Amino acid sequence: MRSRLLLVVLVLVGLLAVGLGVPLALTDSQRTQEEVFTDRLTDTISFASAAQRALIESPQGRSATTAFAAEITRYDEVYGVAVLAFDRSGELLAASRPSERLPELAGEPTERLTVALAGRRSASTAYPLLMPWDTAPIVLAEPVLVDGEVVGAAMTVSPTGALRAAQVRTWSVIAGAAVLALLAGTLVALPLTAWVLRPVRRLDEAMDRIGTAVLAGGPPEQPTRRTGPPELRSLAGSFDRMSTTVREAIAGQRAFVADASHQLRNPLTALRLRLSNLDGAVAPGAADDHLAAMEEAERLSRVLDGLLALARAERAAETGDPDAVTELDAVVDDRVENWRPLAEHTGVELLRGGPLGLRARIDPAGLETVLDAVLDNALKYTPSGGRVRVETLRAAGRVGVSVVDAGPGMPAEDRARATDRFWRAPGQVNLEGSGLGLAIAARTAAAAGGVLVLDPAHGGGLRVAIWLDPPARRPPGGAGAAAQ
Amino acid sequence: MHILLIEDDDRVAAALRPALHRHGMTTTRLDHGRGVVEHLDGVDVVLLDLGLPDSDGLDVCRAIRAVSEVPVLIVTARGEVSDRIAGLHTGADDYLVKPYDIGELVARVHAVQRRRKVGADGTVTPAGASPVTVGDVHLDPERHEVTVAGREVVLTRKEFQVLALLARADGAVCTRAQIVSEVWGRGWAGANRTLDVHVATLRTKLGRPELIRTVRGVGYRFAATED
Repeated sequence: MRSRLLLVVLVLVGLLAVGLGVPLALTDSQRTQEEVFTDRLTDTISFASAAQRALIESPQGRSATTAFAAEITRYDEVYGVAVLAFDRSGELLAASRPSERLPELAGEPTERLTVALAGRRSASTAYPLLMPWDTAPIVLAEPVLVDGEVVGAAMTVSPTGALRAAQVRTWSVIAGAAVLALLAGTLVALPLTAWVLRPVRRLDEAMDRIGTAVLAGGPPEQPTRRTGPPELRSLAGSFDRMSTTVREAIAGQRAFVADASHQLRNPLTALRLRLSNLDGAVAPGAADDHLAAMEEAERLSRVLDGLLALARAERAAETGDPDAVTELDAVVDDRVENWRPLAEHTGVELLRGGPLGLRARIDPAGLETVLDAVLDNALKYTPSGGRVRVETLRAAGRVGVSVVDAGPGMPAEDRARATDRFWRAPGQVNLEGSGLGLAIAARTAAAAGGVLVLDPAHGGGLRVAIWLDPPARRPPGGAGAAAQ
Repeated sequence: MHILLIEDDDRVAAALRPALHRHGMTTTRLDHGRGVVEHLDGVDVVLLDLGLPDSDGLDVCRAIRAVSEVPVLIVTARGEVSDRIAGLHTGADDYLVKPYDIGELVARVHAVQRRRKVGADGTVTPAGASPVTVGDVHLDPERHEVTVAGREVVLTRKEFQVLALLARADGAVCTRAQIVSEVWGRGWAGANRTLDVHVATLRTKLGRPELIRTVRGVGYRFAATED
């Protein structure tokens, strides 16, 4: 966009420069050439009249011829312009310089001589505009008339070097001015394009930010700033409306999940009550089915709880406290303590490691949710005799907690999908759980501005880490006191 | 025991009433919230659904509290922590989220009634502070001591809390959700399995496998006698 705008501006400036510069250059050349032309024409006419006597008297009167020859020779010496006189038949009678130094007379000069000998004057024929690369001299021929009768012709052959040099100089100045105009155009166009594009760029940044926020369920963003041209202001308006619509659609979707889960609770309650009313009333052969039905109802309510927890996690970014800060040690120790009996019961060693004293931006309940989901998974997949390591992390300006299990691990494509709703590892479809644990963990992490990362662990297991932002820096002054 | 059931969903009410009757309770059912206070005579416990068609359940709870000390147990589909807090703040005695198990509901009904009775007498004993003896198992909460047939058994804090809770229930079923929320503060993904582990450890440590009975699909209860 920027380069296109720049190109358009430069093309316009260029066209303007060419449109003004070329006629200016041509007009200037024309004028200069006409001056020279008029000057030479006057001289040629005067030589034509001076040649009358010489031509008429040439066969007898040498003196006249000699005087004419001396005049034109001196003229040639002063001005460098060759002067020639021809008789009626076109025969050269007199020349201002020796014949070996005479300019080439074939071609155009001969034509002009013919025209002059036909009695026409040079002024009546337009002289073509000379270009700097035209090396041909200016040739003017005037008929020598005696009582209206053509007796011969006088010709001047003027070199055009000086004229052309002046022309080149003028043209260079004009071209230089055009280049300067282009440069000035560029200098003006650069800030101009930046000015034109600034609202577009701002809009783009806002779109990016809002897009991310909408997906993460973030707080409603300020409407984009309405600056710049009316079209872009209108676009920004449309964009605000669109992001509102998208936000509403996503919020509606979440609300639907929550509402649907709620609405399912009443029939599910009735179902469970009916099933327990049947307790002891079913035929002995059907007791297993009855129990299984009760377990299915139980499972269904766990899925509902999971769905509600997911809806809550997705809404957390909108409703949660963005300034909540958690001491990682307290939560990690607490969760490890809570899970330890289960781990010991299944023969899994639960270890705690990593640096102490870290703080992160997430509310404690959110971190507990994440750790519970991750630890639940880790203990499910770690065989007896294995170990699960829970470590606090600090790297690249972020803090986090990782859980490394000794399970079978996960291939890359499974890791990419493991945080999807209801996703289960192939072959683990019948394992207990709603399939929402990691999805809830990932969304809880996202709501706190963090991220849940699944990596292969050394030794084949899975390493699940939640990375979070450290709390905002304390205002300066506190740091100095802390250093002591 | 007479229960006032305020529930707008006919099918839930129809399923719930025979279940309560089977547990020896009588019921009156209302499908709306207005004028509830006129039906409180002779009611031992109120089961209150929050999602009522004509009024908000919390307002109904406030209205009941304004005129009566009858135990109110909120039974609702709204399960968020903030809802629970709001419900308990309006004077409800307990809060149960649908879908619940009938065993848990009955256990909680008994619990809220017991608590109110104690409160009414004014003879409140600090919950769980007095020693309990069941068979040859003696439990002293204050000293955090358990002896079986005179022999001391070392328990972890959580194991002791689970045991004390079951002992205090005096043979009534304690649901898993109830035990977990009282011992661990709140449920989490592995809570039920953890509870099972604690119960298994208790059975082993006490050397009385029959003392803690599993009520399938519901929870646990103390079996005082070998029945």
